[in-house]
Amino acid sequence: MMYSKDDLNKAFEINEKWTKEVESYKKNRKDFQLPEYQTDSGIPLKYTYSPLDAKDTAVEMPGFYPYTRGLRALTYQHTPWMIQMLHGYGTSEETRKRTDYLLKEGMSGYGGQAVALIQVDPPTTCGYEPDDPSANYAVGLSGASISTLDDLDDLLGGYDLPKTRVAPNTRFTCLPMLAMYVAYAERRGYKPNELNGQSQNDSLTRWITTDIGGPSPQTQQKLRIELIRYATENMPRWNHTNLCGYLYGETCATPAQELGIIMAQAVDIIEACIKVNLHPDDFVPRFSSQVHLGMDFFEEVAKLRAWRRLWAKTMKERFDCKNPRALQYRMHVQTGGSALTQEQPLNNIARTTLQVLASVLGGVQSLHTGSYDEAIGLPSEEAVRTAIRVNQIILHESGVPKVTDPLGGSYFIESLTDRIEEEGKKIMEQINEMGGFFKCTENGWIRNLLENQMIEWRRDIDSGKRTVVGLNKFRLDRDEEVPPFTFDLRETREKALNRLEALRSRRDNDLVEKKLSEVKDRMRSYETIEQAGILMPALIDAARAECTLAEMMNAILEVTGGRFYSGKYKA
Amino acid sequence: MKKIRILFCRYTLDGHDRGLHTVMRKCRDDGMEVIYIHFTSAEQITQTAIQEAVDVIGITASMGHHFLIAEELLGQLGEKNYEIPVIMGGVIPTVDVPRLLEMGIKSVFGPASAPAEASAFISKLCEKRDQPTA
Repeated sequence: MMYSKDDLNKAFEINEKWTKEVESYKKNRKDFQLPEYQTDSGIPLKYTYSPLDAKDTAVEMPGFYPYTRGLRALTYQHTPWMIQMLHGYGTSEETRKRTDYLLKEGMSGYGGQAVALIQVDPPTTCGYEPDDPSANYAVGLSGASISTLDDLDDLLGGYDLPKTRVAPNTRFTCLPMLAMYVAYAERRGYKPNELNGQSQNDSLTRWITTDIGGPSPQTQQKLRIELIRYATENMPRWNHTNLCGYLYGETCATPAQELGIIMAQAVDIIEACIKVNLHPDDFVPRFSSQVHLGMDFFEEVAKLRAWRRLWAKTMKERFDCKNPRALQYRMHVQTGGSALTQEQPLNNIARTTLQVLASVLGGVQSLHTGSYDEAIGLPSEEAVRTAIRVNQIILHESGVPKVTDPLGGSYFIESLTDRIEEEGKKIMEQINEMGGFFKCTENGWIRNLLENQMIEWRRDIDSGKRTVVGLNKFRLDRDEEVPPFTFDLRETREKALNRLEALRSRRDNDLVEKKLSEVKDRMRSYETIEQAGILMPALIDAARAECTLAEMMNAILEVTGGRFYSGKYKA
Repeated sequence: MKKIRILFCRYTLDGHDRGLHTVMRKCRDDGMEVIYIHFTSAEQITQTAIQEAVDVIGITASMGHHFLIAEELLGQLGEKNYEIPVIMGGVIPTVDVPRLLEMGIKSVFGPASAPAEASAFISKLCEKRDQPTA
């Protein structure tokens, strides 16, 4: 901030007085010890902040580089944040019912557009057929089972696709899922360039944070680059990559680490895309993030501001981006599920309210809000509705969204924003120096970092160093019994198997075989990422012939080998 | 006293392992021998438990599939006539705990429990093992 010399002298003087006053607490109050505070990222906190802490803060306005204060000149005054609820369970039919319910209650994209942010079940996310022995326990669990074009039709039939933001949240199967969506849309008369939505396309993050077996990291990277290339050349409205900071937060990365790891990953994958002759100004604008929002309120606000700034600077300075959209980083927050407790679950509404408020103060584009019963199981209708209401209360009652970046200029927030940017950048550079994100994934460095912090988090809970209300303090004598939302797992599996059986007997299986062997041929010749672009047309063709998601994934993996690389893989 | 050996398992496709890691670390710190597998079938767990001659099986479930897993695993152990205590952890609703215990799970450690509770319970289970049978 620009202060005159006179102002700073005055600030210095009064700051001295204040320091003496604080010292007197130590002297005069024998049983009082000055507390030592730090943020979740370990940044030491002062008891208050003054102009001296923000004297170097540049004067900025929202909508202008480096976008610390927001991506547009007008933010929520022009369009409220998207209320996007990640949802899905059972088959596509149950999930569609939930989608319709959420839309009726206020789930919404920009300008009231329909959104379908779909969580899929583990077999779908990894590419196992519902009748694969490995999928046995998991069909329709914690996500929808989606394997055919008919499933997509159950999910999306009747929606005007170009006006619906479709985002299937898959892991290793992003590429065949996109092929299926393109084929499905074509069946309904839409072209790829009209489609609007998102592939997460961040299997590496999901793979290391959840440690479930997957294809080798090299294979994963090939599929990711293929998707970016296809979307960049054919689907200008499609967000090809949504880097998942959320999962780092859920596995105990600090806010600064989350920022640093995601930035390192962005640098890594952008460099890989440049190798396949894509121009950053063409593909960088379609990167975004799913950001974790924890409980350290001000640090989270500062993180969101710092994230935009670090992104803008990195894209401009490192990749020489000229397209303003490449510098404007869009963020979707998912409120941290691990902050929620099973004990006294209604307390979780207070937690998510704080998380949503921090997100809005930080100026995000989109939000998924956790449900109060998430630590019990699948969210009930009442709980997801309440999660939407938290957003609506902040939007319509609190007055908070009337002013953009209302905390901008706060000595504390500006100083903390600078510090998190610095810390995030340090981690980004550390990873880059160790060979980059891909290397640090392969050699287990990131996974080990997270695992140790998970253990440390728990130790801090057990020792009482960290307080979670209801968990290690203020417990009830007896656990409250909240019934979980359930559905019939066996029936779901049965239903999924019947649908698959019907498809197999109806379709032209010779054609299916032919198309799958074309996928294998293309995958065989896809030796280095420089060849990206040769696989997707064959996958779309296979999807047109009604190959299932798993059949396409299996065809790919038959060539590359294995899906049992552990997230703790060491090169 | 013989070192306690425990087999911890997580179903391959269940990506929730934060709680499990804290419990495994605690058991290791308390002097137990910890074996950890990702499994795809109840047969695999049973086989591993027999081969490794473990004292206890600890299994985690966080996707709402706890009844299915308990049923399959306890069924499989029964089929092989292999008697071994099984404990469970993960995101499990408290209202479901009585039924799990009724099915034969020895104890359930949900999100509200501390790793030390699980470790203490395992030690206690194994005290009985070390007592000579009359």
